[in-house]
Amino acid sequence: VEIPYSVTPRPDTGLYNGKLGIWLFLASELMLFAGLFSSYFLLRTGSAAWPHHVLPVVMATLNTAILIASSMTMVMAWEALATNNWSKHRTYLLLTVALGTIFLAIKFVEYSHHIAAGELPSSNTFFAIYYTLTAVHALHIAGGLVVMLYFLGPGAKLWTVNPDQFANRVEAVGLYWHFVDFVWIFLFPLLYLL
Amino acid sequence: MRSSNTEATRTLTSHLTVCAVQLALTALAVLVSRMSVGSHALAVAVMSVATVNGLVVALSLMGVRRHGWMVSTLAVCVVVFIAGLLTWPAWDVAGRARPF
Repeated sequence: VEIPYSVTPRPDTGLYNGKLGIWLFLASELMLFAGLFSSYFLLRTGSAAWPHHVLPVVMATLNTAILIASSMTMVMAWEALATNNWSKHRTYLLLTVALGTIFLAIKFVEYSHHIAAGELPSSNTFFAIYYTLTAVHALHIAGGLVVMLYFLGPGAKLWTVNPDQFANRVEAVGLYWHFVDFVWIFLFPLLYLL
Repeated sequence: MRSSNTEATRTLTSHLTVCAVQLALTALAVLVSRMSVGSHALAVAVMSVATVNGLVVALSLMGVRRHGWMVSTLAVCVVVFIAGLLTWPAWDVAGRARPF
């Protein structure tokens, strides 16, 4: 049985199934992060004191730049498929994976420094919300990397069978990856700059 | 072939521009956060820059307005929900909250 609109968009919504699915998923994800941000505001405004500039701004700024660059390579990976340039697509997708991995490696170094200094989630409210927000975000990065590695590995076979569906799937991953970038753009100033 | 190369160059240039704008906004947020102004004004200024940066991602990279009415409606609903979620505690703690 062929499922309708799995590749072509529905005339009424203008979206194929996968795209509608990823947008609904991103909406729910945004609500998850909004709940966490709301907790952050409540904790911060309700606390007697709040630490300033205790997190490494240079490291976080570097991570922001890396994530922004990875968003660009992700778009280019998808656009390469539109021009049937398979090798270019692979190169850009691999670059995105590499940049995402570097982001996680820097985050690991940052966590290591804090843990070595005895700054744990149990230390105070600030570190509790810092670890919660950044770890949930890092998990999302890791999830995105797993999907991209799948498309670089076994999932790549779909390109030979149904190239349009493969391109749609890469577009969905791209939307997810931009969303992860979007969340970090707000996490970075809230935790590191203010 | 020539026109497709031109198109590819134009696309690459537009992506690089978006990337450069985002990097500039990130640098601006860091610079603004180092200014010696009141904590409330600082928070408003830094988060305004972050909001512009977020809009660049949502509109330019994710193409919220490009994907048709359904995605636009969904985006509006989520924004209203989040605004409520963030405004409610702000209003609730307004009388006793410490400033940023």
